[in-house]
Amino acid sequence: MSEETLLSDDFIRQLVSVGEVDVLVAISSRNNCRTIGNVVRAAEESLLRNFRRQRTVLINIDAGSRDGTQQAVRDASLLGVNGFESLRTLRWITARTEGAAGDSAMVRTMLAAADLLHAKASAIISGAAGTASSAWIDSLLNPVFRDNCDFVAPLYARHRFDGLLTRNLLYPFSRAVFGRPMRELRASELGFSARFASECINRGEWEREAVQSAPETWMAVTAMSDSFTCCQTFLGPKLRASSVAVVDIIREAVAGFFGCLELTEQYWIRGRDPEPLKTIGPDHQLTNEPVRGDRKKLFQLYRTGIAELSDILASILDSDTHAELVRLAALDEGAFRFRNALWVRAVYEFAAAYHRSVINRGHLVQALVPIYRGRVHSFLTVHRSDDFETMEADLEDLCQEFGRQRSFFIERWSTKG
Amino acid sequence: MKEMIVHAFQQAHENLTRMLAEFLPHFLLMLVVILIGWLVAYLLKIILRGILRVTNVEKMSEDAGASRLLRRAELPTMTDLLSRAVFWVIWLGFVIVGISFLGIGSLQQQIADLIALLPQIFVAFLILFVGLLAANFFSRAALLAGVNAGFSSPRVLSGTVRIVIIFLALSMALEQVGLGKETMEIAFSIVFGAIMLGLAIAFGLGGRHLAARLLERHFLHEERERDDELSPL
Repeated sequence: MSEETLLSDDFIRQLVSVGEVDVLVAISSRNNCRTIGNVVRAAEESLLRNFRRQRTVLINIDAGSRDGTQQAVRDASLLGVNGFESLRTLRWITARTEGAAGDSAMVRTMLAAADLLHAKASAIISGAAGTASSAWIDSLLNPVFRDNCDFVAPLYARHRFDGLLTRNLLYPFSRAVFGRPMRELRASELGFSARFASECINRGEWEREAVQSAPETWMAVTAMSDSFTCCQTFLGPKLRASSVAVVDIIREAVAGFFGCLELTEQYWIRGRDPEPLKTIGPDHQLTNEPVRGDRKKLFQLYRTGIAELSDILASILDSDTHAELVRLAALDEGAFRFRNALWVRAVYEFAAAYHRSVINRGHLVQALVPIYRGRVHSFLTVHRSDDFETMEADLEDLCQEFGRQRSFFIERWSTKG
Repeated sequence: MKEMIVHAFQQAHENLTRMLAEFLPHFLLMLVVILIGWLVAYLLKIILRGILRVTNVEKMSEDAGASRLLRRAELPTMTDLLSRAVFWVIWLGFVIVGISFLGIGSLQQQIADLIALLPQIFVAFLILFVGLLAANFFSRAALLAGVNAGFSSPRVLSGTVRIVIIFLALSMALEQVGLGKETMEIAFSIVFGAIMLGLAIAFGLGGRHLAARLLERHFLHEERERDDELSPL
């Protein structure tokens, strides 16, 4: 889809009427009428408080909401922000994206707007971020606007058992491969510079499957692999997801990440030495309110998955790895522990098999779900009563294990099928 | 008497010579056609093999799971199989055309029928092949969906999908060559109907509470039960 087709005439007319800006905040929304009012007020407050002298614009890109989200945006915006008077007019632009392109179309529209308006600093924030405050927007914009950073990733305070795919796969894997400890690889809140927006929008990768399914991951990976100045900044507590479709999330997030590895292969294939990543605020914060996690069900799903998908797993994994997974499935739940070394090996073998397309890629990623559930079971068991420091130390061990097995991964990845 | 016998032998000899004189050129022509056919078929096999390698058919076959089936059955690779199939179909065509040059009256109609059937046989094989690929792909998708959704018998679901698709492909292939058209249609209707009826009864009896819950949830807009409360991202 070309940029001309992506941006509607009305949207372009609105952009033209705004002209160039210094700061842009884009709010994505999809049926977020309950939370978006708070996000709109936070964005307006941030712009009026900290960017009073700058030319600013707020953009709402809505993906076909049917619950009155756009009305909620208008209502929240009309309320204004008490105690702050703008020196310039705060401009508002709204647009809708329709169809299956989904997140990718929204992100692309935001980047295109930032590029066309030559915004020096831009932030993307999700309309679902019910806990967002003006400090969030400041934290995303300031490193770009004041410190010339090109890409700002967020850090959140999270429940200690939330984000387990991020903790167990996306973060340690990307850290081992790209050499940078960026914790949130698939965040719905981001900050970026004009240079970064222009680079992203002009890359001919928008039709690639990886970009379609995980545009935020692609942006983060692009920033890390293409000499952009990156940092991560602590925002605050992230609102817990109200419903969780584990299989869909894994299918999108893992396939998107593996696809991004293919797109950036030239960068990391020779091996990257670890580099520090500037971090503003604490690099992690965990909370501990009670949650329900059905460990017994997770173990049962692992056991069934390993047994029923035996043929598929045999075509993806090495025989030793597969045999070890089968051996674990035969254990009693109490004795079951999914060690770091086996998990890392299995994940690396899945990524290499994805690259070689040993079976249909959609099927391949779905075959990872039972193994992930086994790992989650083990994680919940091991860290049932651990304090935050112990959990963080264990995460560091996992990262080290991903690093230790990196050469194995590169060898497997480079092997022709 | 003796003259009669000699004459009869002479007559037979002349007939044999005449028949051989008439038959041999046809026979030689047949051999030439078969030989040319072999060369043409062989050349096309080599060309097709090259095209299949360039177009990555082997990867597609691996992706759809067909290669694994072939390996299990100790058959050659997909590229080999397709190019060999084309070789044999083309050469067989030439052999049949060659035999028709012999001018054996009773064979002519049979050969003409067989030649007319060749494209249909080829299409039937193609339908069967695509059907096997589709059966493998969709049965694997059903198995993965079943396992990840925590169904108690995902293999039954997967096996049913596989059998229905293979049966459908088989009936279409046989219909293509005109074999047992009505029988296949009836058999397919019976099998498909039986499966649907079985599922309906199974769901009706075994899953009536689940169905009631699903309907209530759908129409009363009740919140979906969570898989678990741990967000992966």
